[in-house]
Amino acid sequence: MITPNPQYALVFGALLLIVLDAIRLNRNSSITRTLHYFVLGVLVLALVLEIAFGNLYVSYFQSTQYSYFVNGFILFIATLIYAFMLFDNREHSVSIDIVFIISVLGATLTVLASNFMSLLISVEMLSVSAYAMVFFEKNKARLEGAMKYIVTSVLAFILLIFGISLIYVSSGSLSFSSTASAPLIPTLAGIALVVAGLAFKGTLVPFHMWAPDVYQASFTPITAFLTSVSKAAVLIAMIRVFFVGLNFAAPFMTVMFMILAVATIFLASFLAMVQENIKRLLVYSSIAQAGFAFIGIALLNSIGVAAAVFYVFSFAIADALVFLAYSVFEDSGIMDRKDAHKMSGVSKLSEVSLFIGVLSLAGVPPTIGFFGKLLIFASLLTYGYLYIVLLIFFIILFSTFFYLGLLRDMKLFSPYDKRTVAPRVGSLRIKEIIIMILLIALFAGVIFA
Amino acid sequence: MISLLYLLIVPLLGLIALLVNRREKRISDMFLLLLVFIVDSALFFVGIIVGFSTFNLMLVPSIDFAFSLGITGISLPFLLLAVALPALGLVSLYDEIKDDRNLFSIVYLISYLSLIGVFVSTNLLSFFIFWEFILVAFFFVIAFWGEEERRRIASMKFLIFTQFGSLTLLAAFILLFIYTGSFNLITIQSASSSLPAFIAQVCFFLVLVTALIKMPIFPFHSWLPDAHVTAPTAGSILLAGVLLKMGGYALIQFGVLLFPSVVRSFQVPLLILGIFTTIYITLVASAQKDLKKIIAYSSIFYMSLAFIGAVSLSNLGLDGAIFLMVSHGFIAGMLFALAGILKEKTGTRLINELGGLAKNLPMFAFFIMFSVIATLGVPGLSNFIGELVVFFGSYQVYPFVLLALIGALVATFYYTNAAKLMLFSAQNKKFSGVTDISTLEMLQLGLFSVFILVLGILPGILFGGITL
Repeated sequence: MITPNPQYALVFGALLLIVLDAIRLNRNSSITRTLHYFVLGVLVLALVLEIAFGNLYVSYFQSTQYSYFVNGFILFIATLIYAFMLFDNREHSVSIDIVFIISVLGATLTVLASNFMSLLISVEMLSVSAYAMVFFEKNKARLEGAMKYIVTSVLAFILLIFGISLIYVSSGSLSFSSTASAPLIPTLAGIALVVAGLAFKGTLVPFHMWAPDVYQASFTPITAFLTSVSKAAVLIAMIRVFFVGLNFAAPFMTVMFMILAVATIFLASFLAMVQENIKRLLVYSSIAQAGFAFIGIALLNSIGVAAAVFYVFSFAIADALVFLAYSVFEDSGIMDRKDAHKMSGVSKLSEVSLFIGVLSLAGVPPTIGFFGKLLIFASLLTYGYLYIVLLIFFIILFSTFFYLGLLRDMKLFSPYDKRTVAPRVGSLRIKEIIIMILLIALFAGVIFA
Repeated sequence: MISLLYLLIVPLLGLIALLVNRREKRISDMFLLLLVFIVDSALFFVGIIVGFSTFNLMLVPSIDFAFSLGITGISLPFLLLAVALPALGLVSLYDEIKDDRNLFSIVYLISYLSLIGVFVSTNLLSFFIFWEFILVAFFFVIAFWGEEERRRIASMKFLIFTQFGSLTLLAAFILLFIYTGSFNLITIQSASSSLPAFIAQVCFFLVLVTALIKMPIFPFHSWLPDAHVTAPTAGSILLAGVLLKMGGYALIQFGVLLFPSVVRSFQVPLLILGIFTTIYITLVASAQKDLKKIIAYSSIFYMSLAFIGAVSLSNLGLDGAIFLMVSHGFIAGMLFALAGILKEKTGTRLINELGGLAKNLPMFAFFIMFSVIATLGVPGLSNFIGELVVFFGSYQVYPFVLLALIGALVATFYYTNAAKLMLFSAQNKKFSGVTDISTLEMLQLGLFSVFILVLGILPGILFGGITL
């Protein structure tokens, strides 16, 4: 029996959109607008289908216990980000719509992939459409970002496919669980390459160097998509690969992964501290967040995985929130920390949301960022990694330093009359509603802990 | 019975009223604050007579995150501080805060709400939420209303030290959760004796680090003088009066009462640390010229006496520690209020620049002398009882704690010296035109004195909460 899964809605939506775009008679903006609303409808339909019927379950795409939750929030965030783009004063073409749907499809499939080949296809579906999304409009900075993204991602793709072929050679199978019985050396080399390939997409140090430039160059709602949806999908895929596939060398792998994760958090936090540009600071912080989630994955046990899934959820919501809220200010020309005090004139609500979103990234209760870190710490302490916890405390201290430094520069708490105010661009009503929904999710999300 | 929830709802309503008031001024912010404080204090005192009822609301069962309120053995004295002391800082707030007073009131009320929340939460997660709220709120108090030139550094220093303290406390809570399966304080109290010895030690030391930072005790004390000197007076009153006591509360509630056996095995080093702090800090304090710095360092001195009482593991010592903390809360609050008035009147707090103030400011001089005498532990005033009971309790355990009396001796020297230089030496001509304190300030200082006197004459109202 075929159930109407969200993935079908996305596939047919994308195909229909291509056809509709091809056969339309003229290029005027009212038809483009209608097609935009069609995309929003497809995304909402996919979200409803996801909630009602759950995920796809066919040969190489099989859901596990957390896929329902993960795809649910991926579709939720993607829908909100698309709605935000829709009501932005910058027009985008229908081709951006097509790649948006395809990359959302890629993200949901990445979560479901249960085989190396299906994983490869869905990850590439996610990233190839992301290159196009970075090149959102004809503009030198965006082109540069997109080029950097393509070049580094192709490298990641080569590493990934090379690793997968090594695993295939040694075990004769492409399923995740095949690595358990295969001879050690070629499999290990293959796994290492798969780690490198996926770490590129999940922005883990030392494979992160493309991320700040690319994220900064893209249109800010697209950055929100890349840092929340796309990164979340890849991190969740890592859980699937390593937790299911790597039951043979767990202690060794845990040490390696832990080093990777701690290095990510350390480097990203230190680099975030010296940033003057708000967007770049948030980008580095999002790299650090990926490192936190990877700690949960590194433990390679069910408690760690549960913590990682929740952490991915918490930072995806918070990152989407802060980037969308920041995008409101970017339109008014607020780019650097020294201008941050002008924010309140643009939109009080977005400013408060950005404030709370940053607090969530810093891990201040009662936001879900705190509960995410709580679960990560709980999983670490359950397995006795007290020293890692203490090490991470120091990094959290440094990160609190720049997060709260940014909040202080925002001068949310300074009198109205002493402020210099930046102009408001366009109508913000619907954008503010979207930001409010994410803000509510930031507090209510704790029920999924 | 009065539900503890009401104590939190009243400030919350006040907060909403202040936010509404922010856009369009209908009533005075000060009036709203006063109303909140009066209603909350009235509820509290009625509650002491008729009793408090608990409140419990389970939010996330999988991580045992509940919003549960209740009174444990030691929380009532601290609750008295949390409810009454911020109300006494109101006059300083009114005098000193000129920049966006509405917003300061909001932050002040958030701190007030969270302070009450800290002392009545019986779920460790909701406790921690309130705990972090104060930290963030206070960071902004220093960062925005602090003294211009030092506030960046002081706020960051405050944040880094206390955030580290919060994280170690969180780690202890998580360890307790892993080994007892609950964040509920009562469950943990009954299960704590069956914890593995190593885990109990780790938990205790994590809590100890928190307490050493928050109280603060010797190696981690350097954030406090900076924070005090930079913070506005109302902030200083809150900081010395209640925030430091949160450290003492955490030490007693989660350290001493949960793991008495660990404390017993490390008792001598802990006592030596406390004694060393008392002597070292008084020597540092006696070299200070800034009145606020003197008060800040002497706060560390009294907190380290409370630390000695707490780790002495006798009922008397613990009672004394709690009493001393409450009494010192009022006295330090009064001293900081006086320091704020001094700065406002004369433009300086450096004691060697002042002189002969008693001539023009007789009431001010009276209150300074009153609070100095109260600090030094003169019988009849509250600190006397606290110090006496701490020494009674700890002397029974290890007689060498009497070495801490050296600290008390030096304290007598620097406080009386400061009072002499400020009030009674040759009059500085610069300050001949200064007028005496206003009626409002007199009322505030008078209320402080009433609390100090009542606690000194009737100390029994705070005793008897603990049995080890």
